[in-house]
Amino acid sequence: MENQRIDLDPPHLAFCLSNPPRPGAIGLMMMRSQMIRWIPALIVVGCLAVSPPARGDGFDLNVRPLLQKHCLNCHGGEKPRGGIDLAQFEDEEALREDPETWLMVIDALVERTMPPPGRRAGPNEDDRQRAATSIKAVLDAIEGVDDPGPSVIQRLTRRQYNNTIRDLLGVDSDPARNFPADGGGGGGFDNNASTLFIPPILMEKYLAAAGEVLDQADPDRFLVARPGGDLTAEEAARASIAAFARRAFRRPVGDEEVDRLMRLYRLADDRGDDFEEAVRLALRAVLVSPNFLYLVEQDRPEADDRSYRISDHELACRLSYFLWASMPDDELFALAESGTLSDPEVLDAQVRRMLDDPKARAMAEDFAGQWLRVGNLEDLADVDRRMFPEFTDTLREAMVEESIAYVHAIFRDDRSVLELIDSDYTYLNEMLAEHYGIDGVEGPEFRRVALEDRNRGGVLGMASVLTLTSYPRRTSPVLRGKWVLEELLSTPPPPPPPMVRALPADDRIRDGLTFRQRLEQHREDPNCASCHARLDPLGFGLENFDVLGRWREEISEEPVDASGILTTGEEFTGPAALKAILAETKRDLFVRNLSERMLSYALCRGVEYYDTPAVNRVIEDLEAEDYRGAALIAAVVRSFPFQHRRNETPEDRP
Amino acid sequence: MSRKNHPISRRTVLRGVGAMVGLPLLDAMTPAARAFGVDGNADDRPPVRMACLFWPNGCNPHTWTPEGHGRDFTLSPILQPMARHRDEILVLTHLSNQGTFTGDGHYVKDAAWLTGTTIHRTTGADLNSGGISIDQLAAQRIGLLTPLPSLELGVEPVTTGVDTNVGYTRLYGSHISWSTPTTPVAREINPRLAFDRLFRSEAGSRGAQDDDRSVLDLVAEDAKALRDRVGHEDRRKLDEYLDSVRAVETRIAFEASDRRARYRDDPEARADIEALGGRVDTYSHDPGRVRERSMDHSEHVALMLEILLLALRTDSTRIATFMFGNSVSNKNFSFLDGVSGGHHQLSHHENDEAKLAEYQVITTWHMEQCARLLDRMREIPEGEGTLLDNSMVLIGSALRDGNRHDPHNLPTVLAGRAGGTLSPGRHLIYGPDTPLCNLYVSMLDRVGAPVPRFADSTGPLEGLDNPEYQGRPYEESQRRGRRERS
Repeated sequence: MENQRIDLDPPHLAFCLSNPPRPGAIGLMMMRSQMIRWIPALIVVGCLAVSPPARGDGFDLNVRPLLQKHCLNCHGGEKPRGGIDLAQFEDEEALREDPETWLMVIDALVERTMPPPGRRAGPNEDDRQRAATSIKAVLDAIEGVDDPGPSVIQRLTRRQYNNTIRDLLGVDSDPARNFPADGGGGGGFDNNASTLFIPPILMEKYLAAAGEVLDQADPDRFLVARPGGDLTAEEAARASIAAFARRAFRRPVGDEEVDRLMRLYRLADDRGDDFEEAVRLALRAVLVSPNFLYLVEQDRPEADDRSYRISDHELACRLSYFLWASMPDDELFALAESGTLSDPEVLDAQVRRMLDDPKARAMAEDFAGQWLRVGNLEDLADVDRRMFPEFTDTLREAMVEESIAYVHAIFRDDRSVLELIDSDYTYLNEMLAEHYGIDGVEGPEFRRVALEDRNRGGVLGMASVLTLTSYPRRTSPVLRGKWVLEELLSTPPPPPPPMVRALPADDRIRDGLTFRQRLEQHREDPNCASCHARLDPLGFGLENFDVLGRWREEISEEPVDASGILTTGEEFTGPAALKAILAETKRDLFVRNLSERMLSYALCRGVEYYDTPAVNRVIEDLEAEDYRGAALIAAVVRSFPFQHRRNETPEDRP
Repeated sequence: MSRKNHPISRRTVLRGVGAMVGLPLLDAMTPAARAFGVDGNADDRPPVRMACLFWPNGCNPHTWTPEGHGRDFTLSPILQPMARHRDEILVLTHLSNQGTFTGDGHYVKDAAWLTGTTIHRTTGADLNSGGISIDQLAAQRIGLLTPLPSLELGVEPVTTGVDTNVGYTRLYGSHISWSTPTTPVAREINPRLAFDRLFRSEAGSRGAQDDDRSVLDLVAEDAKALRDRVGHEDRRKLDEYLDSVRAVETRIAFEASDRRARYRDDPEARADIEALGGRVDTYSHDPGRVRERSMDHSEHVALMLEILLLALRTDSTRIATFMFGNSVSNKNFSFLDGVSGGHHQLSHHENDEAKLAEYQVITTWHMEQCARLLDRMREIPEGEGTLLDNSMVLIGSALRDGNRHDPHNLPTVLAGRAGGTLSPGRHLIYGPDTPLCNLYVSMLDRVGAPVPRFADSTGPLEGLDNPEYQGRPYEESQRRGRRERS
């Protein structure tokens, strides 16, 4: 399936991509620079069927003939248009020398911006897609790239803010509850640094929250010294403020920084505040400081290379926010202080220790919640509550908990990540077990339950995912198939053409046709066939699960037909057989997707073409260690972009 | 792979705006009324307010445009709720936002509704709207005259992740306000938080305000020190941080001022604020009704619009935006008679009569909510007229026919008299694809933030203040409409 090409009909694509961009008020120079910056993202989540990098003859077969026929007239010869000379590229090797130009070519192909409108017809859709895929495969094969990518200082997300305050002050009161929501950016995760902002409304809330949490905190948490004995009030304040700032800023603090904070202490002291109150005022400033609210990594103007290894303190932060969504603990601080954290063996041991810590559940919630999209089930599930009154808030929360507990266990217990697709166990409480028709689970707490029925086990047998991918009143094989293609395999289908006939809202039998038969009829339309041949069978295989993920044998009193044939030829009936096929024949796609997503989450940015070597390394390591969950985390932590930072070129400096 | 090619920096943009405007800041601060050369003591005239109300997913294209033109027109079915405001609105036909002719069906249109630009297609790494939105441009010019430079409200949570169908981050679809091309402005969607922020957050004592100010002074120093030690992109983030620090400082200063007290102590405003506070509390403290409410979000919308109204009335801000929903919102409108589905789903009506009818009911409901806001604005006396007389309320969507994602002839209404500088009660038909940004030039002028050009504008929009101006004949728009459809 992954290698199946998508046959888009031109109006369909025109609908999706429309006319070429207009220079507008911004100016052409900016257009070019902008394009270069956003094209990589487009490749990762574009209309293309993204397949594992293929190497070989793509350029000669799929690209060169197209260039000769449609491009070189303008972009070749003595005076190539726009200074873009495509005639100079003889082979794949030459192409790899100039990835940015070829990213623009991919863009022009996929966006249909070239040849310019009004000229003679350009390549057909088939040829465009084939050429774009081939160029991408060539670029993916670039070796030895040493670009760790941009690392913009990241503002704490709401979850990170809450957890950091908890670990810093012992206050677990959800102080970020009223902060504006964090938007998700590249890679789809809300920790994406470039889409986290501090608008005035948030600044107001930081100011208020800082006062609130300091009032709630036990003073022993932030007063390391009190006046008395040999210590003057000023000395005690300074010691406390310096110690607090060091933990809050997650790095050593300079004297001038403490001096600055002491001004606030003195201000309060001078007007007669008591010692504790006066220290609190300085600490408020710590909690509103950019050094606390952003995960700052410092520039190294003196570094000569294109990138440099981050400091141990910075590494401690990357680790702790990756695995705990919170600040480093004392042990990490100490290792950073002694400069030994980046020692590979120490690092591996720390990853192991951190995964064992209950705080690592934050990663499962954050990563899995957003990747599988179940974290947001409350907003996304669109169940018709009149038809399904049993879909209560409690049941919905139990559904989500199963997924989070399951993913958490994969990493904590170091189980194979392939169990995300298929396994013989899951996590249940009494309510959810009853929902699934499983006996012998009592009480509200979740525990691991062995499954006799292999139709459950893995994310495709989870009520959270199955509910998420249903319509209000019926299941949707199309949505479920799309979820598998997008979230599990990362091979999303293109959007539907604009004039599709809609399907009925429920699954009653109409005109003697079952819902499935209607959907199959829909597939006879050639505009729909190629994509639905990929989508529908995956969903058909899950038809034994109803809107809320319960097992069923019948739909509208007709037996469920859960058979399907994948475009790659595999036949199956029912969820167990489908999962077995996915775990076997789609394993590489799944593993690549999971590795890219994990890297994206860890780096707080989308994965780009220059990350390909790092992704490949992670996959190799993961395969070598039997796909164990902890091995995936360790491989990501070991990866080049996780431990390095891009050096800014001199002209970027002020 | 080097980062030689940088997008336009924030500073450059701000400089650019300054240059484009070509006016010293002082002039820009002149209250709007004075800018129009009204006689008498300009300072006593109520200021002109601007609100922009956005709804997603377009409208039934066959039942939006009024028949007739100039003063002689009949409201269309969707605009029926505006009947009681017929003489206070301008219906503007054939405006288009050329920057949005490209790209996908929703995000490109909606995110750039107020910027007039082409947003950059990205999954998140390089979010860029290509420009500042008109509300934020005005806020940067006249925002310092009020405690809040601007107010951004909505009802739907920010949608996250990437729309893999089209390759745009959904973040675009949750924002119409952009303070820089790379900074979308967060909206408040929780009525209680929005209300508290405006009317209850008054830091009790002078002491608490002093503390806030001292803390802000210090963290601004931290940010400046840090700014010198980080790279280009990070400096942009810190500039954003510093801007927000300044905005909060300004606000604190306003809260303490006498002028502020004058507005808030107005007994009628006080009564309305207290009444609204009660409504907001009822709404927030009644978890039992949460499910019921999700079936009918009229009260949520009503509360947000009332908050917007009181913010304008108390001069807490002069600039506000409101989003009825995010791009591609599939809000379930089955609480309305005759509707049985989600908004986006029904906007893809496939020219099916029944679906077109449902689509129409949904947009008509939006017009009813807007009309209620206008009712309230008309009730509030101000100077020699009403709040509505001193305001201009832009009501629109960033596409026309949702089924085709049609970016031409956008459904657009401008309500109010903007302090006597608009002459409403007309349906004005312009030439095909007249820039929507021409309207924005006219609006910015009236709110006291004049610009010679905005995005693809070719000048101010003709005839807005001239009661004699009739626009083009209705028949012509009909002929063009048929041609577009064929």
